[in-house]
Amino acid sequence: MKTDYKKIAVDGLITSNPTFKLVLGTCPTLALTTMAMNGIGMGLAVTFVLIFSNILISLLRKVIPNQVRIPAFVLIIATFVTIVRLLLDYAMPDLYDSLGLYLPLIVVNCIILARAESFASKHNVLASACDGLFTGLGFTVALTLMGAFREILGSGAIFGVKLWDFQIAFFSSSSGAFFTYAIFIAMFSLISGAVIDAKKRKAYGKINELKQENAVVFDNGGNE
Amino acid sequence: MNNPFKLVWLKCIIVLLLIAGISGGLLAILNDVFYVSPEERTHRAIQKIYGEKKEYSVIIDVDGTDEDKKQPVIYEDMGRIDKIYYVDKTDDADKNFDMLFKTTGYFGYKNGTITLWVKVVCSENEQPTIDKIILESFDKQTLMSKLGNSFYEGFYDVTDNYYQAKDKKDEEKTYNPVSGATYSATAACNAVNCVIKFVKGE
Repeated sequence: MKTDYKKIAVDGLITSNPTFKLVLGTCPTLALTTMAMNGIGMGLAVTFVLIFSNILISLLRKVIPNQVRIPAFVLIIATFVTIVRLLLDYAMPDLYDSLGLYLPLIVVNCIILARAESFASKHNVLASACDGLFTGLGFTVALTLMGAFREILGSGAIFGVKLWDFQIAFFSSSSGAFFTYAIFIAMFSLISGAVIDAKKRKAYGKINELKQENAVVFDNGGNE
Repeated sequence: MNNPFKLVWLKCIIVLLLIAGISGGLLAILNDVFYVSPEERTHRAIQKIYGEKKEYSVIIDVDGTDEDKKQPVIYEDMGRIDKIYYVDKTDDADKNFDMLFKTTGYFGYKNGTITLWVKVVCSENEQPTIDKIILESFDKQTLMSKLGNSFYEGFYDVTDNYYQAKDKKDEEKTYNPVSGATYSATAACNAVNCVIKFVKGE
């Protein structure tokens, strides 16, 4: 079967966006989006783990017995999470400190396990890597947008650069995180819904044009 | 007799053991490659404060190798000091020097803690002053974004008074509050108070 890479990309970024559409990985989404930089850092860490765990799981999918696939996936994911921790502590200590406890908790992030179980264990290596990349990027973009929104309103800054003294402390708090998340999910649903409606209208328009051009009579209960 | 390689349970165990073994080996190698020593961590903290690497000597370091200098300074009612470094200013004609403290304040939100690096400038004839404070880490605090630069700058003064974040009408203490994060501010004040207590020699 031919792999549709465009569909994988669109699914990961938009139609099955892990944060705004599937509402997966909410714990880091709510806790770490006080700053845009944290969002990028966490998103890229998850993307790294997603890509490499998907590749390895796809490679081993015919070797791992079905009965122990979940423990095997967790072992593989935990290995890559530990590698990310070691790398960040070594090369980016500030980011490592700010991500704190949520970095090791990537092991139990349901986005990664979900992609391993539902995609990587059934597809070839390249498709699995692409799925990891685009799902990770979808997560990264979502976290960065939320982080930027909360940082601008909650701290009057963006990427640590002070914009103004005006601050709404609510957006830095936990309840502000839930509120921001709700706003973004609503906006995402509204925009994606509008896009889907527009596509449907366009498709119906084309069908009607074809109908008129070719005078096709559809079976409509014998009325036409 | 059954072929052992056709037994599912055996295959499961072998596969899991193989994955665990290979992962363990890989992580052992990477752990060695990306190892960050306690000295390097201290250099990083100093670099955060000075913007460059500086030579220092250890007075107290709970993570250090010298057993004589491993004992932390503990003040039960406010916090503890885990590290103290002496940073000599070799280019300074007035024989000024800095002392760097890694101090942890107790009694924050949900009884959590805040750990700060505090730079104290000392000179021969003047009272030591707090010159810079950098947040190292915190535990259980949820509103740390409220503790901005202006709050930490409130401590940059002579070290003759203790600080409080709740207004207890204690004129002996300087009032340095943070609206909406009083408990976290209390832990930060306690961390700074540990340093002041140490500098005062009380």
